[in-house]
This record gives sequence, structure tokens and C-alpha cells, in this order.
Amino acid sequence: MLRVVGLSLIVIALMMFMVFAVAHYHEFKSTSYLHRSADTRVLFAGTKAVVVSSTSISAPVRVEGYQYAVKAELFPGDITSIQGPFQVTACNVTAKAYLVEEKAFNTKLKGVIISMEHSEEDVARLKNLLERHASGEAVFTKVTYFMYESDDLPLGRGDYVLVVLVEYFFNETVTLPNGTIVANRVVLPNGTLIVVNSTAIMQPGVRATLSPLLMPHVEVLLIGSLKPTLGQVLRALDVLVLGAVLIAIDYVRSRRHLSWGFRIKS
Amino acid sequence: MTSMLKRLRVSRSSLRRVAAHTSFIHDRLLKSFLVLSLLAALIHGLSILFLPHTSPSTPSPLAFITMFTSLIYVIAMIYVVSSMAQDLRDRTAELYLSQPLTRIEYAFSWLITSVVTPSLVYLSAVALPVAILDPHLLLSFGFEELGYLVVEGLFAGSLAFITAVLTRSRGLTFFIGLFWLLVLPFVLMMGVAVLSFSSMGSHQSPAAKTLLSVFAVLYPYKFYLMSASSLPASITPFQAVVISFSISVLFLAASLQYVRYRLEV
Repeated sequence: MLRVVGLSLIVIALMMFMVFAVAHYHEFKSTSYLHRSADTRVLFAGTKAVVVSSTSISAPVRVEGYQYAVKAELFPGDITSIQGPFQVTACNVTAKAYLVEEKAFNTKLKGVIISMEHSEEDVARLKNLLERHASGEAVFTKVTYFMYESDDLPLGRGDYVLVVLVEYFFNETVTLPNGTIVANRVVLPNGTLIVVNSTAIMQPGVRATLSPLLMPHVEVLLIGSLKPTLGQVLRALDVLVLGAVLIAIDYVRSRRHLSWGFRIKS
Repeated sequence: MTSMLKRLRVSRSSLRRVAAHTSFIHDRLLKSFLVLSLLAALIHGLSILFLPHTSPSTPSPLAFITMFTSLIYVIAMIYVVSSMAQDLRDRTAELYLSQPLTRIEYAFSWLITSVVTPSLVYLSAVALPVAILDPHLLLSFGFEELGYLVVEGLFAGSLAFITAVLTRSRGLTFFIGLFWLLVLPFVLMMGVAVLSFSSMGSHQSPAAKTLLSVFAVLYPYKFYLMSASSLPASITPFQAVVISFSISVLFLAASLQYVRYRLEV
């Protein structure tokens, strides 16, 4: 039995050595989705719509040798052709992710986001504040037709909030269902995006049946990458030595008796 | 006093004989144990690299992996017990029993080899990779489910053991073990589903509840994992594991009693 247990320990230790060796040369990335509720605000500023989405990120359970980062996946929605009462023929999207410490977010940014008006000045003010207080920021790049992805943002200790700022620059041409091109602009002077609903075509001030479609879906990913530490290697070595000691004990013990039959008879 | 000393001496020499025979069986089955250890260590070693690091929301991050690797553990256990059945069938046991090894000692050493050693090898293959990676994880993860897993394994082992002793058939022992492991859980859960559906309620019918309780006793580990999704049953996972453990002990005691008084080789 000692030999079996000893051999198992050696096998386990060798397996961990193999894992560490592979991790040393090739970075392992374990990815898990953070399912947190995101607070979202939609603003119409000038010729664009701005969506501010903030997601809380609790400090992960830290495992020795792992480094952590977050990244976001943005699904802005199929806004290049919104079917329904009218069509927006084209739209450009730019987005940026900001990682802010939760304390700084609550004291400096939360109130601003809640009280923001539909104006370009407020959006610029928010951007300014985000750049000042963020511990990391990353631009989104288009990965597929439907998805944008940010770079990794290294995570320190403590709780954070990931703020994603999405800007939709609408094409100024809007086509009605009957094919009529109706406007050079679809934004009122106060920044409200005019939307034509099915009953009232082009009534100025009828607002935002479009806005629900401007709810981008943001997925936040936690990425842990392992870099083996000396402690981990030494612990694996401990297990290996323990296994070897158990086998040696079994060997010495069995040398004292030649066969199991002899042992039983004695 | 003299008789007590004599009894102690007898039991000491009996233990030595059991140890010697256990060691002999281990040598015979070394390859199987190595395969168990290798597979379990490989799967656990690689999978802990991809553990979710958000474990506050995940009660047992290892459960998803152990659910699959426990199959290897139970199969190894059944394999060892079926080797005993083979010994009894082809009369190899006669050779051992012609030595001063009693039938109860013979059966007991097989019991250690078939139940204790696979459990030890498997548990070390689960816990040690985690401990090597970060010892604090052992405390924060909580290995409650491993207790349930071992009791479920013990039930499989005891069922296979009593089958081996009674039938002395390697094939039948393997069949019963694999049937219990791979077929019966699906049959029972299908039964629960059919009964629930026929009563037009979600698991609320008494028959479905009873069947679910039977499932819980036969498979305390699976039931423990399923109870996270709050399946209504007449018993709790803890009650199920206690009943399962009691039945396993009963099976093993009955097997040893049978070996002692009725077994003929």
C-alpha cells in the first residue's frame, strides 16, 4: 500500500511539474465571465448617441502565481439598419473602457453620470473625469461584425468598476419606409434624437423609440494567467520527495521478508 | 489476564497477516492503481489551471471536474473487487487460504485494497494539485462534496463486494457495478421525470418524491450536486449520505459474515 501511495504522489508531482513547465513557456489564460448587472444611461448629444455602462467588479479570489486582468466584449447591436418605422442607413461606433476603483467611482463619477444632461459638454466633462480617475483605459477594436473587444486591463487588489463609453455617430440621412429621404439631421437642437414612430411620421419631439435599440450589451471577462512561483515548484518537489520516501520505506520493509508466504508463516 | 494477552497476540499476528496479504494484492494490482492515479492527476492537474477565480458565486469549483473523474474512481474500485471474484472463481484463493490466512482475513485484505486504497489515491489526486497550486485554496474551496463522493464510492464498492462474494463471478460483479454507475441513475431520473410529468406538477407527486429519495440514497454525491438547483425530495443530502453510508456498512458486514461462515472455496 505504501508503494501505491508513494507512486501516486510521484505521479501527481510530475504532473504538476509538467503543468508548470508548460505554463512557463506558454501563458495559460483562464477566462470567466462576470455576470454583474450593469447600470446604463443613454444620452443624445449633438449628432451622436452616447451610452455609458458601468459594471461592478468584485476582487477575484487570488491564487498564487496568477495575474488578473479584465476585458470587455461589446455588442453594440445591429444599428447599421434599424428596421421599423424608419431606417438609419449607416452608423459608426467608437467605444472605450475605463477601469476605475470603486471608491473613486462612487465619490467622483457616479453622481456625474446620473445627473448628466443630453449635451456634448456633459459628455466631454465625463470623458475628462474618466481619464483623470481611471487606473487603466482601453480602446475597443472591432473583432467581428457584431462584436467589439477591448484590450486587457490589469486588475489590482480591491473592487473596481468598469465604465464603458460607447458613442454612436449616426449617418445624417434617414430613410422612411416609403423610401423618402427625409432629413439632413435627425437630432433636435436640444440633443434629442427624433424618431418617427408608426403613427406619427416625422413629428418633431417624438422621442426615442430608437433608444431601446441603443442598449449595447457588454460582457465583462476576468482573465487569470499563471506564472509559476518558486513556492509552487518547491511544494511539488516536497510531494515528489514524500512519494520517494514512502517507496523507500516500503522497499526496506519488504527486503526484510522474502515473500508474502514467508511473512504470513512467520 | 493471560487469555487477554493471548488474544492480543492473536489479533496482532492476524493484523500482520492481513497487512502482508494486502501488500501482496497491491503489488498484483499496481498497474491499475497507477492508471487511476495517472488519469486523475492529469485531469485535475490540468483543470485547476482553468478554475474560475470568482468562486464566491461558485459553491464548489471542483465539483464539475470531480463529477466526471469520480467515474474513473468507481470503475477502479469495481475492477479491484471483480479481481477478488476472479480469485474465488478460479480457485486461486485456495492457494492463499492454504496458508495460515483465515477467510475473514482474506476478505478483509481485499476490502482494504478495493475500498481504502482507491479512495486514498483518488482523494490525493484531487487535493494535492490544489494544495501545490495554492494551499489556501484547500480552505477556501471546501471539500464537503468529496465526503459525499467517497460515501457514494463506498456504496458502489460495497455493492460490488457483496456481489463478488455471493456470486464469485467477475463478469456479474463488473456488470452490477457498471449498471449501478452508468445505467441506474438515468433510469431513476427518467422515472422521476415521467412521474412528475404525469402528475402535471414539477416533482411534486409523492411517487416522484419517493423515487428521488431512493436516488438520493443510492447516489448521495450526485444528489448533493443536484440539490444546488433545489430539487424537492423527502430527504436532505445529509440524511441521504448517512443512510447510504449505513447501508454500505451493512453490506460490508453482511459480506464479511458470509465469508466467515458460509464461503466455501
